[in-house]
Amino acid sequence: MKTYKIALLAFGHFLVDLQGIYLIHTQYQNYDFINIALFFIVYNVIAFGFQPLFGYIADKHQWYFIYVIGGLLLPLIALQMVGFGIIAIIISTIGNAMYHVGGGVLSVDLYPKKAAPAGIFVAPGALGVFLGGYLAVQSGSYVLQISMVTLLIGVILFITLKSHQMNHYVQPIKNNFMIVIALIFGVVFIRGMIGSILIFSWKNDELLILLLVSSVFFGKLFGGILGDKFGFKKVGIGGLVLSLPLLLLGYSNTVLGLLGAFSFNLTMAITLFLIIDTLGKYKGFAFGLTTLALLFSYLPSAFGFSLALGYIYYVLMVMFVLVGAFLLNKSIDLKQS
Amino acid sequence: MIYKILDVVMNPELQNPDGNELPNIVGEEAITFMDILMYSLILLICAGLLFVVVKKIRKIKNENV
Repeated sequence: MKTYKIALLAFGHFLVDLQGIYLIHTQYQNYDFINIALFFIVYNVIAFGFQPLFGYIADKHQWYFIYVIGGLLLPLIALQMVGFGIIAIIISTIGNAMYHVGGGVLSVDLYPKKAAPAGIFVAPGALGVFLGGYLAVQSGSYVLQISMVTLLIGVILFITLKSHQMNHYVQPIKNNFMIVIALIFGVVFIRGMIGSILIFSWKNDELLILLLVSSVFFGKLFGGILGDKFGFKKVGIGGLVLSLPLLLLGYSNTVLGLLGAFSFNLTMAITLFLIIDTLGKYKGFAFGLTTLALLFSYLPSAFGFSLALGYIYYVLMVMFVLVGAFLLNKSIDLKQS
Repeated sequence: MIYKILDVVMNPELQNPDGNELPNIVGEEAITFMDILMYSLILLICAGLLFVVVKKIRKIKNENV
């Protein structure tokens, strides 16, 4: 039953991300690029930046179940309001932030000492983002189909979780918790930076992009599972360090690039679990801190920062990976001390 | 500027021949007042979020001391 609940929550995550991205991309029918750019910024700021605050409120009032149901319904409502532009986007992103926090905490709470649920819950988001963008540019509307599936999953989630009792297992907050969360925040920020400067010359075909998204999906999915089995250091730091040559060589080699993306994403579930496990009962807040770090890492590229393949690219990639690995190593040591 | 980047990211046909997603138009275009306003607003919101988050972390610390 626990696995079933996590799978359901993960599928809900897939739908929430799909709806949000679908909604933004369909705005091309009514708006130009300036507006769409603004929509993307609003989406990222609310969906990523406000999660710690939504999480804090959920932690205080134990609103995780409400967040899951509300978080699934708001994007569904927004999807029926495509013509409302920014209003629909804001409604959808509020739901997005709520669902991430609620679903994330409920998933982690099912197996409180494991990192696997965090990875299983988060991983489908990448597929949702891809499919949302893909469907939006196809001819015809998919609003009805997406809405029907979302409604069905919403009803199943409601029935499954309405009488759900949380474990409420929490690790006591240690004195060094601020250092640990600062270190993990740094790892997530660096990971986001790497993701934003990464260059693949072969990423120009829908099938190859789908393969890349699948690599990201499987990396996130298996990061926690492998981390629980073989240890966070081996999988988290090992995955990060191994990803460096693969990602650099993957610039022109598709297979190496896909393996690099897989390896690189193994750390995600581990950092997410570590930060959630550090902040005691403030699991939703902890979950949100990781997305805030991602928002900050998104800023340079949003401000026009980009790199071409060359000396600076290689140096920055090596530097980011080494610093990220060091911070992750330090945070795991501090957590275990 | 942001919209130009998005334009290119979302339209593979506009990408550089070497596969770089973000071509050299970035930096060559004049920055408009709207760009500055938009960037300032984003930075302001992010700074505000960081401020609130740090306050919450301090609150959690005080609760647990």
